[in-house]
Amino acid sequence: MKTWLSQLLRVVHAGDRSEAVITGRKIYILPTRYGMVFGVLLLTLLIASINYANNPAFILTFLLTGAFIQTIFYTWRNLLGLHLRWRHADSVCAGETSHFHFQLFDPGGRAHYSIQMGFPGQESMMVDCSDQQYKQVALAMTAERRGRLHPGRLTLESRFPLGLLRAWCYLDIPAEAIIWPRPMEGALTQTRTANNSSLDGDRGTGTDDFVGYRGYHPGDSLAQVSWKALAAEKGLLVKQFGGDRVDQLWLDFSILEEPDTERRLGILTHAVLKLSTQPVHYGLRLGDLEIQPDNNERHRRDCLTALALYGEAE
Amino acid sequence: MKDVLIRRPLSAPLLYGGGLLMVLAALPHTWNLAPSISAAFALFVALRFVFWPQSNKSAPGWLMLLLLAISIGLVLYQADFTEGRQFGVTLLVLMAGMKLLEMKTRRDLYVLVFLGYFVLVTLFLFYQSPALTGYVLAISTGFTALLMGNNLAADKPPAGLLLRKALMMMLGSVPVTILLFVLFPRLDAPLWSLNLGSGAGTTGMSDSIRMGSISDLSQSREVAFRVRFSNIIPPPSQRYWRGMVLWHNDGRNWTRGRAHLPKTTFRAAAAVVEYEVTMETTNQPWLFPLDHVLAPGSGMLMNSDGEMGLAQPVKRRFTWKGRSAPVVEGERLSSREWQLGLQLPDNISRRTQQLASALRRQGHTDEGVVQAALRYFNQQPFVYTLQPPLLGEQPVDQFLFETRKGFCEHYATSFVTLMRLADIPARVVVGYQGGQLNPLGGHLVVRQSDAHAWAEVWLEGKGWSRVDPTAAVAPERIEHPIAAQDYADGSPIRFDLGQAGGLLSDMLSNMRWLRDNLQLKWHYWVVGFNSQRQQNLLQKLGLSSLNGYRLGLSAALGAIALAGLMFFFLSFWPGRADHDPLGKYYRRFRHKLRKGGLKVSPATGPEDLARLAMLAFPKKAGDIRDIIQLYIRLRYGPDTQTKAVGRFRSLVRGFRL
Repeated sequence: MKTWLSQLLRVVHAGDRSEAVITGRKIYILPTRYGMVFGVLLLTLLIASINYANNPAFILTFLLTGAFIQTIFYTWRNLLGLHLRWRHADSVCAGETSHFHFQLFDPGGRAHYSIQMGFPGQESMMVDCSDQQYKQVALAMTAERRGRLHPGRLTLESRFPLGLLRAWCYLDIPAEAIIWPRPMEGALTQTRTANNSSLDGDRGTGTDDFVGYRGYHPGDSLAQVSWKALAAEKGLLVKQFGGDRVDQLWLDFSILEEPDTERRLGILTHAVLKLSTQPVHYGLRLGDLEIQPDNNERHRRDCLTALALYGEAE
Repeated sequence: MKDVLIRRPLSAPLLYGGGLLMVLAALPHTWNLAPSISAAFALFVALRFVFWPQSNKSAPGWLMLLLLAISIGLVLYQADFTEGRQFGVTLLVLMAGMKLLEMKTRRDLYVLVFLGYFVLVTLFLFYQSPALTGYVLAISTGFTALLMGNNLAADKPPAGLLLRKALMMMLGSVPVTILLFVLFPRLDAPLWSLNLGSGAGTTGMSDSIRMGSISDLSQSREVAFRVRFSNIIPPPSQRYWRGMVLWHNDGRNWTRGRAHLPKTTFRAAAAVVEYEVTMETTNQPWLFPLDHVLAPGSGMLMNSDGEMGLAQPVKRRFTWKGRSAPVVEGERLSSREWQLGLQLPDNISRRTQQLASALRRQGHTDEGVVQAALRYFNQQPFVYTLQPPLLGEQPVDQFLFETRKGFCEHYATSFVTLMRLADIPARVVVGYQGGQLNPLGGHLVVRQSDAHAWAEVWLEGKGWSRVDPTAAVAPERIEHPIAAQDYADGSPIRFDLGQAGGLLSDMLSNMRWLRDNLQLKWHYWVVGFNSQRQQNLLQKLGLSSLNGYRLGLSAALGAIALAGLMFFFLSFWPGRADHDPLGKYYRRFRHKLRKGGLKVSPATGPEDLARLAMLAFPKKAGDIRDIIQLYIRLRYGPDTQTKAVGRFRSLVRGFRL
């Protein structure tokens, strides 16, 4: 019964490139409380005009009636033709607030005013989408648990121009955020620190000796950024270290003493967040998964994502 | 989702806009309301803007309660419950003032705007002129714009844009308004009888006079009838349009003596005037022939009093032909008429009787007595005014000796009373006097404001003779129409003396006639549009089969069809064509540089363009840098502001090489 009903609901589905287009038949529209009061006002004016046989009053009544009829279309059209593109969501730890980033635009170049967007049960946001502009919208949502956070069905609504009617539509957008486990302090027992020597000679990727600077590439560990150089306005440089010896740490899920899975994941998350700011290479063993020791932004994300999705079906 | 805007505090432009519009909407009511009510409204507005000028802070609750109590007291003290509209408007205006005082969130603004629409529509209960209608429509457009601003997130709404949008919306309503106006069924009788203040009825004709009760004879410029003369146009002093003859006086009221209209004719004793009268709807059977009519036309009735009428009330514009002569002969006074002509009420005071005896002594003949009475009116300080003071229990006495301010009905009725006291049979005649020649149409226009009452006395050998005591007080009234002006309480009437003037005054008078014409048309097509004219119009349009419920149905269907058309139109309308104003002005800037001699390829980006341009025109380097920096900020920056685009435009416009 419920599924049958939910099939009746008209929902905008995101097409290619996670872009949803609001078309006319997907928009619901109903009068607001003020719309109903306005209706009563019109009726009163009409009865007064009839009773006093007052033709100028008829004119004002009919003009306002016309305005009301037009408002139906203007309110409807204020949502019509909007394109909503899902960009990405910020990954955060459980308990923090994640932002879902959208782009709102109208390729037709029409201005849309006072568009209210929100996920069910969440604070909504109001934005204007002026002509020829990609409006960036970030919707906040508090992440309760680790894993994939699906914010639910997005609702877009508008009361512009007169606030007498509310037009809204539902959008199914494949929005999700990866929520890392809540970091927890805890003992990392038996984490072996191994100074593994490379057999292939010095490749300049160790952590031993400072050898010089190179330009920053996205993904470089922030621990190696030369802040001093940045402060001296020399640009974003990364310190390079020679030698092939580096502390290698293995974070292993199976050997933690803590019995509770979530706590274990929390401890590992805490460790990853901490180690990623230190000049060490760390690897992660999580069930069947093994991530080789390294230290950069991408590696950090891979580890945290693996921790976030542990035990979840792909 | 919850409406996030509705709880927001008001911004200053919304509050001040709402305040201004509400004051403008209530302003014309100042002339209708008791001064204390207007003062209370002004006080509320002043309190708000003096003590709580911040938009998000309003008067405290205890003050509102206090003011509410004062308002209720004022309403109860002032209100005239027999006058429905005055009472309603008083309440409405006070409510609007209090709302203004207590509003602080956007929710309150909805209430204010709805109240504003209400105040505007009540204006039409008092005024229906084209100018006021235009005023009301302008203010209601303002209110609509305000409502739009209330639904924008910005605290400082773009007023110009909103006004344009509201105007577009109002203009968009015009087709549906015209359709509904033409097709919406009109009722001939009100749904329920509310006292529309009939005590303050317009200058029109009723078949009885209640002396002293019509204290507010307003200036209705409505046309009563138009007359086209075939042979001679009688001079203004002869233009008496005779209506009903009132015989009976019960102390306050003068009423007709006879119920039916048997057929009678009169013999002319002077040149006969032939004419054609086109009457407006009166919903009464009476016709107003030129004094004195000779014979009724076909389908009309006339009695020996010379009253003429139809068997049914006049429900539509109606044209009839008449023949009249200034003097008729062969009238006889029956003993019943003798009796009726001397009837007197009980409330005649002693001094009135003494005055009548004095008049009797002054004039030796009956004619002499009439002249003496007219002299009395002429020599004593009587004032002719349309706003006479109210009269009490002994209206004739009070009028003759105390107030001495009145209009034609006062003079006619007291004159007739004096004549009867002096043993001269007399009666009151009501009708119209005067009329203005329309220089464009050549016909005489008699308006409701020409309504008049005079006396007829029986003089032996002459028969019933017309005597107009008003002429003794204000001879201008007979020769000239009353100038359409506002009359203060008890002020003497000024007359339109129509002095000949130069080119300017000619032009002015032509303008007046043009305006008159417009007012007639407005009256005919808008204010006076009733079920009769609706049927006439539909007949002309070939839609005569539409009546009753079919009319209502077609109005609804027509409105839906128009709405459908609008839907179609709007969904394919692309919106504003100018999508990229920024790009347009940037191209204009490049064009200016090119004309100045700079050679750049179209692929050159803005930064490179700035570098090249600054090298080429070092004197203008600062301007060029400013323009390009603003362009980059607007084009690639985080948010575009319409205002900043406007600045970019003015920078580019002002740029000269």
